[in-house]
Amino acid sequence: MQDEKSRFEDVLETVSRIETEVSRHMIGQKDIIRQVIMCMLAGGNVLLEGMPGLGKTRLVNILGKVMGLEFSRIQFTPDLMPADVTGTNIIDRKESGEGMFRFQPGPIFSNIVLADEINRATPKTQSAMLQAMQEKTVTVANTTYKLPEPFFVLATQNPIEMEGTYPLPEAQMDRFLFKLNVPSPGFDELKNIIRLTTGNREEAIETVTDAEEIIQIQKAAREIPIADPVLDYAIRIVVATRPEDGNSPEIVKKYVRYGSSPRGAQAIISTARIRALLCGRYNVSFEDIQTVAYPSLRHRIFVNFDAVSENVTPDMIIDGIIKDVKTYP
Amino acid sequence: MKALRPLKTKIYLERAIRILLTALIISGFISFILAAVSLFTVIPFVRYRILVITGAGLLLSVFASLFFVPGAEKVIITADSLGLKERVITAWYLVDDNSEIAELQRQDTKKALDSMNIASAYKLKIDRRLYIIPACIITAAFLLTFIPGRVSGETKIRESLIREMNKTEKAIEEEIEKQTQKNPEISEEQLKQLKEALEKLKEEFRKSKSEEDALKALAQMENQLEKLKEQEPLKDLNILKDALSNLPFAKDMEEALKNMNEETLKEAFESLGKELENEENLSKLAEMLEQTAMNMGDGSLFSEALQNLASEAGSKNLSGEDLVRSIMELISQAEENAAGQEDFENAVADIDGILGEARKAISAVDQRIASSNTGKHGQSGRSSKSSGNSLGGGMAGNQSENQGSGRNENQGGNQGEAESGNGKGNQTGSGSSRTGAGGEMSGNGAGEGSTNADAGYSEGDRPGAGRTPGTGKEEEYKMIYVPERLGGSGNESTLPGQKLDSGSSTYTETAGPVQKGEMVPYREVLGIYREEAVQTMDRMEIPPGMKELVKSYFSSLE
Repeated sequence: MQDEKSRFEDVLETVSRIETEVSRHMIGQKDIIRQVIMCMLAGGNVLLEGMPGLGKTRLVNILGKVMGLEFSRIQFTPDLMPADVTGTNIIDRKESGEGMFRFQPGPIFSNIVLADEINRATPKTQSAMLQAMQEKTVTVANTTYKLPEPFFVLATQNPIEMEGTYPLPEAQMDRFLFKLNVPSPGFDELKNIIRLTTGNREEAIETVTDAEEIIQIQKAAREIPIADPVLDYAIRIVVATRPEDGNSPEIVKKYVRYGSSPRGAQAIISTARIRALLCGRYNVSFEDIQTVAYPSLRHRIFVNFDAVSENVTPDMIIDGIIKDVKTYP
Repeated sequence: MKALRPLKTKIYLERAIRILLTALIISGFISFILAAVSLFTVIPFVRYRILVITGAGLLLSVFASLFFVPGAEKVIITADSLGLKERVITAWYLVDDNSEIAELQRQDTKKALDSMNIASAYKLKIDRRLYIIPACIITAAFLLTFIPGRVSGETKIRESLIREMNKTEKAIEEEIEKQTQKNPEISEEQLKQLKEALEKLKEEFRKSKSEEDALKALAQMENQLEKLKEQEPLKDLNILKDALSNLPFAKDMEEALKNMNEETLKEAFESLGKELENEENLSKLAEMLEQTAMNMGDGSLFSEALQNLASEAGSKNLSGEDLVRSIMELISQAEENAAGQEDFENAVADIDGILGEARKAISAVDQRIASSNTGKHGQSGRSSKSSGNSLGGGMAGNQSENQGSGRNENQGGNQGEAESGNGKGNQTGSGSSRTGAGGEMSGNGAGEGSTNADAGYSEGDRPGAGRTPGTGKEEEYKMIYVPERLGGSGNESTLPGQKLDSGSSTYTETAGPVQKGEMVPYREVLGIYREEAVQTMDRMEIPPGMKELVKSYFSSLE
């Protein structure tokens, strides 16, 4: 029992150290940092959406270093090809002159892959990420290669520069555990950012954990129990996103084209467990579910034209759902 | 769950308060309706009823709250809502889980529960409206009872009547109790008879809706008491003794009964029992008993018992031994009754006195209310009593006050109708009511009333033209319609009133004067009817049981 307790206490301590170290080098964005950590510990991919210059790429960089994970970055451009992401077979010529195909892994073979401005690549290239994101494997020329564990894709996209971009297909959106909207920093935060980034002093980023420990944390998190009423509540929230469901709230029926897939429920439960652990609890609460429902569902709810024309965002719809769905029916 | 017990108690308390307040709202609503209805319908003791309804609502709510003990899940959910973040419900779900994480979770829950005072963290949340609504409704219901409605006068009369009736019941009960203690000679049977008479009175009082009904009930009890007084247990005993002495197969009986020696009597009865093993003797005894019962008459206490014994013996339901035992018991009972007869008669006379006082009090109820109304509000004392068509002084002095007031009321009521163009009054016959201080009654024709009080007579102390006022008590009976007397001359009806231009009237001319029957006290015809019934029964083959039924019917009418 004591070992068990210390195992979970160790997990809590490690998570806390990761959060502290990242926050030391990343000014502000406390919620975003926490949510990215939650998503990564749940073994999911994150889509960060925000204006340019908000520190999205920097955050991913810092996380990679703090977690002691192998990190690679792919700058998505319209001429980026799938092989540039996954890797390709190249002819390897021996000294004897004999040539043979050898697989040259692409940048995706890394623990943390930063897919920067993912929406600038063509759908063909974007699709190259699908298998990797879901199955953590890559298939090139009939050979399937397993990606290193843990594996995370942290993608970024810019919501305003739509020219020359290719919106992510629904299938790919669904593979992101979280979609996080990175907010602009406030006055004080901006002041600190300027101080930190325009001087000569650059503090070294400390690595506080490693891949093995991250995998242990992921396993521990999956043990966090969840009571039936809490699980039911999460499922009712997901079901309520579907306009065809008779019990869905009016806002869903009016503005939603397609609701969440079952991955939405999986995302909510797995990240709610991490959140409970981060809060020092050994059980999932309704509050955990409500908190993670926004990043888990906002990219899984596809609004209709009425919503777009009336500026109704998925977050507003989730608000309506949370207000409507009772914790105990 | 032990840690959650204070919370459970608090939730239970909250529920009980809610149920109580809801019950108050419901009872308040019912009370309000009752109070509103009481403005138009006679509902005596409305305020008392409102209190009773409210009290009943409170009691019911206490009872109902027993069934609303919060369940474990409800308590757990409430505890979680106080900041425990679903720790308790998770622990509850993991109660059978022995894994390490489940144990850790339970420890965490316990720690969280220990760190807070869960009962004080839970605040009673009761909507303020739940307090205000019942208070307002019940207050409104009470206020409504103070508004004088269309029937407030009648309601007061009914209330006074009920009070008087209750007082009478109580007084008689006390009197019976007093007599029991004072006169231990009064037998159990006699006491039982008195109590039965009282029960009958109570029943009749409960049915009474008006002064007339109450007076009728009193009259019935008086009759019953009269019958009880007339009982002659000693005479009955002698008749029975004579009959037994004359039995051809019970020679020892005569001597034994003469001496009333316990031992010889016992022996005589034992010997009689043996004789009765013979079926012929048993039949003879049954016949003798039936004859004896008839000789005793209807008023006899033992007549019915003997009749029953006779029919039982006749139908061979009773063995000779049992029959003898029953006769012995009857004789013993008769002796007891005979011993206490004098005291019993005194007791009956005392109760009679109470009844007389009750009669006076009940008769005076409407006048009292009317005068108090006049005094207080300047209203015309309107009586609730409708005496039907009062026709003069066939029984003059006795009809006195009751008829007079009834007549006046009718006129008042009819005048009201006249304003709407429907004419005035519908009185028939002639006669005059008592006027002013003179108090002279005069008139002719048959009195036609709907009640004993109308047609009967009270202690006559006023001079009347139709009949000399009596000094003694005269009985009061229901008046019944006698078709044989159809054709008696009646009085012409007059319809006084003024026809207004706006109104309309229709009338039908009949060929001649309307023939009407005559109303007489039913006692006058009861004997004829009973005689006719007995003769018919003798003529026809009717089962003895049915004969009994007919006889008991006529007995009940007396």
